[in-house]
Amino acid sequence: MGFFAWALIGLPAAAGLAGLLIRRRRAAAWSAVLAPLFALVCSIVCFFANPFVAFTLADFGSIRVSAALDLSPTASAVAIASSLVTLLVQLYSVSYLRDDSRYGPFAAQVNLFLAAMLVVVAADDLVFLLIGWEVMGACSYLLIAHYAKLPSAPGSAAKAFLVTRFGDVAFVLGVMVLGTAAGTFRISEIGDVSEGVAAAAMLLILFGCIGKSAQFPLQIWLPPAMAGPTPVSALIHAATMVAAGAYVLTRLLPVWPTDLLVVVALVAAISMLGAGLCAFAATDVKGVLAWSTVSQVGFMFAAVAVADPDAALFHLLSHAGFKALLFLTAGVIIHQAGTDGSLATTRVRPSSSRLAFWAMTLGLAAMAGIPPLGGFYSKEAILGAAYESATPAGVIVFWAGIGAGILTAAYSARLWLLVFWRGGAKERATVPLAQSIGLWTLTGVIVVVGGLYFAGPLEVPPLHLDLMVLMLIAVLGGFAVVGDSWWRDRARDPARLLGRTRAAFARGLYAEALAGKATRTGARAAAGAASALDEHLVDQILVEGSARATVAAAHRTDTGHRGGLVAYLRLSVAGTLVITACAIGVSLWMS
Amino acid sequence: MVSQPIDHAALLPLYLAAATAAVALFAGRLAKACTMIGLSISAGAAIWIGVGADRRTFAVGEWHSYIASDATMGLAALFALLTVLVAALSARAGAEYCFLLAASAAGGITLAGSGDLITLIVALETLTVPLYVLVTRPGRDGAEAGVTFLIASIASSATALMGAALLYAASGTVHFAGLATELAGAHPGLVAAGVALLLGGLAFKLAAAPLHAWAPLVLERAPLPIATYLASASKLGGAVAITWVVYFGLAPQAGLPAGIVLAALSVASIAVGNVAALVQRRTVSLLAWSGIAHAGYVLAPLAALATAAGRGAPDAAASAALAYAVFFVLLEAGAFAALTAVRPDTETETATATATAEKGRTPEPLLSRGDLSAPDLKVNAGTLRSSTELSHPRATIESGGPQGSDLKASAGNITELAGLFRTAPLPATVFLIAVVGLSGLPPALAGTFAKIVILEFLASSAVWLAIIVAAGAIVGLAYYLPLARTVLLGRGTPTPKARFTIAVAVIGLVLLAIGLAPQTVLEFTRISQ
Amino acid sequence: MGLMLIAAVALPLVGAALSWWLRRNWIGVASAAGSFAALAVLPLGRGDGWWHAVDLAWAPSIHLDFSLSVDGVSWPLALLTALLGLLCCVHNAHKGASSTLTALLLAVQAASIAVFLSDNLILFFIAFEAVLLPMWAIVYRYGDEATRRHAAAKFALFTVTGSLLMATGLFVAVADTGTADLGEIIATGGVSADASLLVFTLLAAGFAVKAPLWPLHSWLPDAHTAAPTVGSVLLAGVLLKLGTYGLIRVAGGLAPHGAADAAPVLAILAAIGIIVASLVCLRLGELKRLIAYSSVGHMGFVVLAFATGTEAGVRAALFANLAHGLVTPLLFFLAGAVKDRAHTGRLVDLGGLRLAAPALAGLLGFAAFASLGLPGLAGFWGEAFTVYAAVERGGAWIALAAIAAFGAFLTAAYLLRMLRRVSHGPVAPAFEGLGAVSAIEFATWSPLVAAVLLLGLAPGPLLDLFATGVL
Repeated sequence: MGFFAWALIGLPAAAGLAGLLIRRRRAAAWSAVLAPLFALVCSIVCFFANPFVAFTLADFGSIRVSAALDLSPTASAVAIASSLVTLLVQLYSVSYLRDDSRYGPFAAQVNLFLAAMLVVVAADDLVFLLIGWEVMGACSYLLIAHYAKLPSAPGSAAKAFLVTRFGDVAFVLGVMVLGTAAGTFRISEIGDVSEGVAAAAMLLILFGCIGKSAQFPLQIWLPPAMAGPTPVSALIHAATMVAAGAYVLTRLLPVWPTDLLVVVALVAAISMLGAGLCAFAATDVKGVLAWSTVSQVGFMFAAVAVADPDAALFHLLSHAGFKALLFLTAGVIIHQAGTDGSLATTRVRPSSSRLAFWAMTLGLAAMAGIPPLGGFYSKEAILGAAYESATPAGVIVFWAGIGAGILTAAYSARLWLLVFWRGGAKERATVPLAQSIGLWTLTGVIVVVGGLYFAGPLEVPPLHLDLMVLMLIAVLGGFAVVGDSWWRDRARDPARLLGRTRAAFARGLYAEALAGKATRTGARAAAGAASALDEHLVDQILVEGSARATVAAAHRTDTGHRGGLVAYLRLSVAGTLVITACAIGVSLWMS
Repeated sequence: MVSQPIDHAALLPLYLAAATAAVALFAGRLAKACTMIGLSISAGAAIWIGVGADRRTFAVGEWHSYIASDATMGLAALFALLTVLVAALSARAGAEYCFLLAASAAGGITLAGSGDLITLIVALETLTVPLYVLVTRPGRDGAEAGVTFLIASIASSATALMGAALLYAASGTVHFAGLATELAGAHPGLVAAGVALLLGGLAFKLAAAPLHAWAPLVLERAPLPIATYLASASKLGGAVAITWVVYFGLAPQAGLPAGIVLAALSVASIAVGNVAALVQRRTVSLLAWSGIAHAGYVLAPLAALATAAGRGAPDAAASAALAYAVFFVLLEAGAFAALTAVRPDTETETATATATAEKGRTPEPLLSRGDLSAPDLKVNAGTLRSSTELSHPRATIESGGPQGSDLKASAGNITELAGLFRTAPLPATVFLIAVVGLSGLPPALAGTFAKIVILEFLASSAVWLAIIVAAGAIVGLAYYLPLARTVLLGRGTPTPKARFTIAVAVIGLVLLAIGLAPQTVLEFTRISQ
Repeated sequence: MGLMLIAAVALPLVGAALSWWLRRNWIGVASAAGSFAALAVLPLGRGDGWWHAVDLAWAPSIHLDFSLSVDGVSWPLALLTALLGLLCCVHNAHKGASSTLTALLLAVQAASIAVFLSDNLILFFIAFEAVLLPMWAIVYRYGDEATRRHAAAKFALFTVTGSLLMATGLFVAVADTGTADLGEIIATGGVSADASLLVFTLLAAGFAVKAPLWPLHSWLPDAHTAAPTVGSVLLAGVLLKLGTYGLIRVAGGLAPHGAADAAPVLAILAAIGIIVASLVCLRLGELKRLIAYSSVGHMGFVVLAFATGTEAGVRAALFANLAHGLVTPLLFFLAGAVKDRAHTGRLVDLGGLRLAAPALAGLLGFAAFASLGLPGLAGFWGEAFTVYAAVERGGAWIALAAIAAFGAFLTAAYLLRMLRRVSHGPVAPAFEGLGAVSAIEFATWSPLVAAVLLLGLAPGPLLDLFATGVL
């Protein structure tokens, strides 16, 4: 069974690396689609076989790194989700990027991305996990920068990589602290570490996860990452990179000192609410979806904060389904509307593509949490856990979750109304086959994913009727507010409800601009100071200066030796006398 | 007066050298050949005696004035062979020229074997006095050089004699072996004064600071073969004299004052020589200044006597100093031999150059030509530089081009060697080996081994001195490297055809040989009581 | 096998002489390949400790023996040297460069291999010094027209300063122990406690120049920038390794007590170096200079890891050392290819390489990712476990670990900045009509790419080799 575990990672990785060398488009497409398909098969096999394999990757004497894969049912479930989404994204891309000359590398990078994600999902060794963790970041850089002609793409890509890597500074430190204290990097073997060390390590690791998952305060990279092709957004947001942070936190939950979970709760609460508001104010289709991701991943963090990993994973899976669907559908819709995705201009009629309309509607409903779709159950599981936890973290998360539920409903409704019900071109458009497969499949998935609640590998608390009612009220409340605004004045965006703060939320509370400016200013100042220190002080003054001083001394010495015989004799006599006097003096003194 | 048997076999090399001198005087055209053959035989005899058992002669009780051991005879052979090389490099060697050269060599051979201060100083004078004549080239410049050398030498000899006298006063003996024991109870101040004056005087031969400044001046104005002799055999004489005095005579009882004096000499030489060499534009003066620095390196192991660790291992110090001296003089000989081979025949140049010399009397026209070698050094014996010249800052920067010299204004500049490697590969290669060796870098391993020898000894006795030596070597690279670069890569006018191919090739082969088999040098310079 | 050791050193020397004499580059390629092959067979019949040794007397009076040995620490570095030498020779032959350049390269290669294999301190010193002149000549003769003279002189003076300080330290050690046999001194626990700090200080100062350790690095950017491509490759891939190898093997081995005492100073300087170099890189405007400066940061990791003194730290240092020797030469090869084609290395004049030459841009991206320590590529293991080793020491060392980790972030920042300027954006005029990457170029680069990938995915065997080494 170990074979399937290695094949699960090895196939996409090999396809990815080999794909970078493939020139012919058809071959690239085949390898692009087959690799995640095989990964899907392998992960399904692993779901039932649960292989556990390990060998030593690197031995550093006092500690060793193992290539250890632990495909528990939950890990396998996440692996299935990742593989499936990637498969659909690859299929979608075949037609989406049919005119793109750089399709080959793109498809290969997506496969590498999948392999990296699968490493994160399956790894039982923190350093091994780190490999997938950062390769994923690198792939996201490559994928976001895919459009060569888009001026903002390289910057956005670099931002995505650098912000996540900034988090990784802490992540690496945390892993190393944990490894030092526990004497091993194996997650399954990390035993008791002292409370203080665990707290330090986990806070550091949390910061890394915040970076990867684009939670507050490192959410700044995610909105600009929309510069990448839409399938890439689907991939990053749905089942891979952004979810990875939450996933890793669930794996390390046993190490957390319970009291400190309130930190996670605060991060989750701020992210859920803040991103919800930003999504409500966002000005383009993909922007709404991007901010909604931050908010939804906040729910996963919330589940972690109340120490319920299975609820987090459940939401991760359901989120993977509906978010992938939403992004893929958004790609179709933006293509149909022929716009850049701005909400002000993007309009399609429900009738122009039934498939797109229903896919979007169901996806938004799932996100908003309308039963019996998956989103409803997963959120209920999280809030239920918070409800039952009776910790400060639980209280924070619960109320923030309710608030975020209202916001989710509101921005979902706004998006739905603005896109579909403002008229638009009448001609019917057909969704290409490769793309429609994705839409159909995912629509199916989100309908059935709620079933995981009842028949899945996850252990989640039993349903709370009162809670379900409360949630439904919240969702309906959100709909009602937006609907009310819409019925009053159809010409105006319901986001006007936010009043004067609307512009601020539309730009993510200027966090990105401020952080960018601060970083640039700081970097410029620090680099200037470093250059002054290094090139001016060390190089020019100390090094070259000493050379200049030596040459100056040389000129003086040379000049001092002009003067012919008399000068020579004076020099000699004086020198000899001085030396003699010294010798006599020292001799007398020493004796 | 008790007569005692004299070991004539021990004196054989000396007899042969003296005989060579005498024969050369009568040999006419064959003088050069006679000198070379005679001195070679003398060297062979020295080696033959050195290989055999140690011999001593001229005894006063236990003490001997003449000692023929492995080291002394090896050095005697080296003196003779270096003189042979110089003779070979001399284009028109007349009878008197050869006589003086061979007489000087005889002085060197005596010096190597000398066992008391009187013999040593007499031998040193024998080595030096013929040079008064030899360094003097026709013309005013040559006369100035000769006068400078003469007065400087006499002054230093007087100093050394004064020191010897003080030591005699302190110990009642002039034999090294006697000093080694008799200085024990002497007044330390008297001993220190004697040591300082004696070593200071002897340091003149080695051109160690503060009695160094004659070297650049004289070397540049002397004919190049004689410059070769001054830079090699003559310096070896100084090194041997100091080593013998310090090792056999002073180390046991007066190690500390000797060490202090030598440390001062050594550090001053390293500093002054290296720094001044940095701005030299003329090949010979560059080599002369750097030679001052190397004198400092030679003295450095002996200077370690100033430390307790150094006094504990005087034989290692002396061996290191000698070994370095041998490597160094061979490298210098190589450099000067190569220079001699490619320098235009200076004797024929004299006539034309004297005419141009008149133009060079005022600095302005030369400066306006942008020529680097503005004549700036006014060495009228006994007169100071005129104040007008002091006001020419540019003129003071450039190095010792002889004022109104019998060389052309640009002659002797480093730039003259540009591209030598293409036009005269053999001398250029030897020159490169020598220069790179002097800087102590592989692939010229001879120099590297020299540096290793002294650093290895200093590291065990006086790390601070090792670091000073290392610092000197760093500065040294800063002027050796451009020199090597000019020869190898520079683009310049073709220089005349190389001469003295065999002599240059031989010294080159010797340098290669000691680079590959340093143990030969290290064996015979290893000395012990 | 002893013969193979000698062959590894002698073949490049002979090749240098012949290729210079006969003006044929292919002789250089053949001899470099021979040297590589000789080294490649060395692991046959190995055990722990020294695998093979030859010992010939040379000059016993100064403790000099022609004594070569190989073990798990020196072999990978020697092999790397031979590989880079071979690649440089191929590059030269392909470009039709002067055979003198090839000869000088081979001389550097021979001397460097001799340094790595030397088991005698005096021989080590001689070989160490022997690198200087040929490398100086490469920079001086074949370097960038505007800066080569200054850079070459600076390189030579700095290097000789380092090597003479180092020599003093070596000789103190020899005087203290009475032998110059490196392995023997290491086996007996180094020099006596009194001399230990002095020996280590001298040795470390010497090696720190070569490594280079901040603030003794200022020769490096000039020399690397001015040198021709092959010169930069050897400088980065081999010469810096001489410093770190010496620091770890010789300084650490001869004076373990001194190393422990001096470790905080080394570590702090290394950390400063990491940060300062990275920050300087953030504003550099020239491609090669940027890559050159990045070496200061990377070698800071090596020194920091060594300074921790832990088992993991030393292995991380060795690993990072080797990884840098693969990655940075690759970067220099690629930067050379870019500069050859664009005739400029100024970042403001570049852009759009991704569109103009996708393969070249892809490789540049790969190398940049490897250089920023992406996990799964060779650069990761050494740098990550530098952080680990520093954390392992605990206390104030954790701050250094944080600095190192942050330095890795800054490394990513400036390399992405470089990629953005070079690869992305519209095609710059300098890249119009860019020549494709030729097969020979691919052949030159691919061993490095493969090795970077291999070491990144399977670091285990190399680390196990280090574990068997004589340290």
